[in-house]
Amino acid sequence: MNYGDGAKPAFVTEFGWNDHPRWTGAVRPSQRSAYTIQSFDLAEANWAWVEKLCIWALRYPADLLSYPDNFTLISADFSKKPIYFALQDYARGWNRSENPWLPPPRAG
Amino acid sequence: MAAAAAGWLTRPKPPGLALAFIVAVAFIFTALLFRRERAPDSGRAFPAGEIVVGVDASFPPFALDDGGSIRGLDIDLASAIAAELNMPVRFSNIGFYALHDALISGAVDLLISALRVDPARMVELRYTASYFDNGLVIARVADATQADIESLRKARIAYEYASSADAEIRVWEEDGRSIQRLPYELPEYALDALRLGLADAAIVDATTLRLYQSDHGDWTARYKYVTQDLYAIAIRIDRVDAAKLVGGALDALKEKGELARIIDKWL
Repeated sequence: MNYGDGAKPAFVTEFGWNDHPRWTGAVRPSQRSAYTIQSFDLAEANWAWVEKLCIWALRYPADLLSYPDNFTLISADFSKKPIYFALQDYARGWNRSENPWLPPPRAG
Repeated sequence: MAAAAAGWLTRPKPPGLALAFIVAVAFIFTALLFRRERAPDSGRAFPAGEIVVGVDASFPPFALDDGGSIRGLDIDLASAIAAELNMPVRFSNIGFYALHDALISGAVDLLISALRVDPARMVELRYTASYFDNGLVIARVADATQADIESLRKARIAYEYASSADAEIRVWEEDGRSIQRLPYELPEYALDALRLGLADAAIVDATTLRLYQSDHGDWTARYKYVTQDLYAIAIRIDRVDAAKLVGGALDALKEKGELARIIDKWL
């Protein structure tokens, strides 16, 4: 942008979060879905020059038996993970809200 | 010549030979049937004279290194198994992603580290029976009956958004159950909603429920498992004697109620 390249389209070829329960760099499954969807909203609202946002990864041909398995939207056995459905809803325009979850419950 | 050949072909075998053959077959069959398995020997199973347990001590309450000493459910379980086998135990604190390599290379004898049973790994290791099921549970308030838990029609169900509980509810909806979804950021919030009467039920994993109940001593929930997530001890596939001994010790701990006491202590 600072060098006059604002009109050039940019492709973000890999992004995403990981929700493996044993990896210290992971986030909660709820956060993984929310952050991913919020990224699309953020890019749409603020980065007109971003033409594609590509999530890493749809599916691996075989499980790696390690934390990278939790970057995928679909397991190696083709079972769809909850984030897959959250993104599907988002792409269809369903359940769009600022917060995908309810506020923490309070007594009274 | 032809008649002689035919005579040779049809000549009856000596009866003694046939009898000997039958007796030999019967003997082998009986021996196979009643053979006694060689009892596993702890010296052969653990030649170093100790049991070396690989554990990832960054996963409380199963194992945590709190400044030099490792404590947790898995540590107590490993110690109890070693005591059952009358052998010393030593722990090797290994990062989660190096645990299996340590086992396969022989750096450790066992892995006791809240490991899920993974069929894909069973070409190179074997698992004992499970010692804990961290599957999803559906929890209701303590005065709910079992029938209530199973019906749950049009119920308000709290859960962690986009978690495995979310996926389970989706399956129920596809089966035609009418459910009012209450998604929260954290599974503990789902249990808060149940405890405060904002939800009829909550779906969380068994560890989360047990820890939550420990933190809220005056509140208990009835629960029922809806999925399985089995934790088991892993042993290299060629360590047959070790697997038999450890499996037997685990069975003994279950029988004596010691395993339940360990689980209740930490969860």
